[in-house]
Amino acid sequence: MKKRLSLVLPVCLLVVLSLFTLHVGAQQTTIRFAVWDFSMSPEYQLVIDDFEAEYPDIKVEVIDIAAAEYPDKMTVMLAAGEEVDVFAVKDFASYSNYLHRNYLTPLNSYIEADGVDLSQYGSAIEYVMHEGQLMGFPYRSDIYVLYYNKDIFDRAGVPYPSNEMTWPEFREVAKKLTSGEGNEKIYGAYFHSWRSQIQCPILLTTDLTLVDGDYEFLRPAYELALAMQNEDKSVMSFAEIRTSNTHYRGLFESGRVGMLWMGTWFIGSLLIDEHDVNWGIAKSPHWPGTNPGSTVEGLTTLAINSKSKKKDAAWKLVSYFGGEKGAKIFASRGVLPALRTPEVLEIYTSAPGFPEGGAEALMTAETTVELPPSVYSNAIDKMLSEEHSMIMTGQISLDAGLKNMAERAKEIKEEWW
Amino acid sequence: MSTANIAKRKSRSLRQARRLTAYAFLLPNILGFVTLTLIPIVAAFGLSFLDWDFANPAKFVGLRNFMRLARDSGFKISLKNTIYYSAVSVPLTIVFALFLAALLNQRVRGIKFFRTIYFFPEISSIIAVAVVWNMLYHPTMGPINSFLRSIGIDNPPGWTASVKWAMPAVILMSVWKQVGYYTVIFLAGLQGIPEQLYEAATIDGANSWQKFRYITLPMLSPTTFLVSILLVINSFKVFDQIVIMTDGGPGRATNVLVYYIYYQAFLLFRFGYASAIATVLFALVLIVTIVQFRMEKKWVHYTMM
Repeated sequence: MKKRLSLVLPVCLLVVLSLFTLHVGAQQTTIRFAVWDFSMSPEYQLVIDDFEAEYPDIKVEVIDIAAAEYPDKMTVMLAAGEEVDVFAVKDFASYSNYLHRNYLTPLNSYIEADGVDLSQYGSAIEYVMHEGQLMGFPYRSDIYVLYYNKDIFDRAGVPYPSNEMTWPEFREVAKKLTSGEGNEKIYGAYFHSWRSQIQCPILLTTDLTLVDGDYEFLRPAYELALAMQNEDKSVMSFAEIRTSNTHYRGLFESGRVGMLWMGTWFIGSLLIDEHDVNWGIAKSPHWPGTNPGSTVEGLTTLAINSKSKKKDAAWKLVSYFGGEKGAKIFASRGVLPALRTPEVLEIYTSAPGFPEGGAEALMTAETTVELPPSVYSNAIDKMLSEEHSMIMTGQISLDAGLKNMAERAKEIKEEWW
Repeated sequence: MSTANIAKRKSRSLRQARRLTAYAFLLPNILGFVTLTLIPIVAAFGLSFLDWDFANPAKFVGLRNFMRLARDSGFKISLKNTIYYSAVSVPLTIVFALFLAALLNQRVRGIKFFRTIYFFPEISSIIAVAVVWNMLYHPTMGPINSFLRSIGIDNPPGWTASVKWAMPAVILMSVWKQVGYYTVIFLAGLQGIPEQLYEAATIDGANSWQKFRYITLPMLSPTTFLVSILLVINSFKVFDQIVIMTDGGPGRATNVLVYYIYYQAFLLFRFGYASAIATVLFALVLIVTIVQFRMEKKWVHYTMM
């Protein structure tokens, strides 16, 4: 008798348990959500936890992909028809790639049904519109600001950068901050090896974009950067950054950089990383002729796979991330949300460790984007990076570099079919 | 039934069984070759007449992909770079491998240790090796340039950061990486040369150079032939170290054909065009190999001992 009971109990338990899971499974929808560096960005898990608590019938399964591989891997997964319902769109080049390959679901019907007010999302949203349809829902939006190391300014006796600084002033300040040699050298400023570091701030002085094919407007930006690198030696040389795989994050956080022009995503890093840098932020420097606060803006969106069979549940997740609840969680973690209501900004700027007076640095005048969506985006991006590296390492003159850019842009467009 | 007949039948069935066993052993390899090599090659050839982006329906474009090649500056540059890589790395590897093999073919203490050392790069992961060489090549802080400066060269090359030196840097590293493998092949060849030839030459009063020139080199020519074919084919396929060390740069200085195929296919999603380049690469390797086989008779000696 005793023996039989010891057998019956576990069996009963098993039956009950399996019934329970069956019951839940029957009405639960699982959404597969692809995003990069999920494990390194705890705020995503927080949003998902809240979302699942609010929608117990939807379960989110995350596909975590390393940031560097994300665009390629995503493309292959989508092409192979792998089951992905929601995926993050990292930049406009990826966006145009997905768009032209028909992987994106138009979102207008959902937006109208839910009554979402898109005017709260800033002007960059127009870049993810296609034929009047919103193709990705913005949840993060970063702008470029100026980071500075207060200790380096104090030691050099230079006042902190103002919100009205111009790029020529930036050069002069950087010169004053530079000191030391070798591994101890303090760089007045730092341009990362990305072409956007040099090519993008000056976009605000022109109506042209980097896909238009005329690159003469880049000249003053390159002249400034080359002078800082070769004459003032106030920035680490491009060649050294490339060959030593220097990362701006490590260099700034080790206290060796006076000023850094970088996106607001870096605020989140500075808040969570361990370092001793006493940092502040100011508005991006501007080129004479433009207004202070003019800067480059990036938009990160979530898209619904056009082949998804769970679009309604997917939209719930997408709008949760981009909506107020998601925005508040992101803001509290030092990640700038696309939805910037006064309430959200208040949370963002009052996060522990957020620099004093930093709120004003986030107020923008005109904004533009690094590379607008276009079929040519990938090819132009690669071409510009190649010519950028040639100019910055002094392999070719600035004149030749700008000429090459124009010629190669022409070739790319003519050979496109 | 006579015993002779039985024996005959027995041997026939035995032969059949043996043939089946042979096929069974060949099958896994053939299957792998057909599914992973032959079918993709045929598919790539077919794709080269299409315009296809992996997502939208493919369009037949005839020879337009091949016509585009003639105008494409990117293709011309990568073809030129591939030939550069091939023309320098193949002879260098042969010379070094032969030299090392001659050194390692001696009966001295600890020779096995040295043979292992020279083979080591071959078994290391190319990714790890390329990353380490990048550090060695660092223009300001790398050991190579520190050494060059210490012996009085004030302006050492910029290596991977320089258009002029990036390809030599990649070639040098590749030669170092692959030389061990070909040394082993040469070593086997050297050990197959009968000792009595050298003995006879010594009696005739030949010096070491003459022995090398008139015995070693001709006797080794079948090995050299094999090595050069393998090297040329491999050199046309160079890719990994370039992605890690220079990513095709600076500018387009180390942009080789396979890198360009990868770029066209997986960055621009022009699978048709990428396949056209791959087809041209295939044809190129085929032609070079045929030419090598044609020239074989002129310099390769097969001696029956």
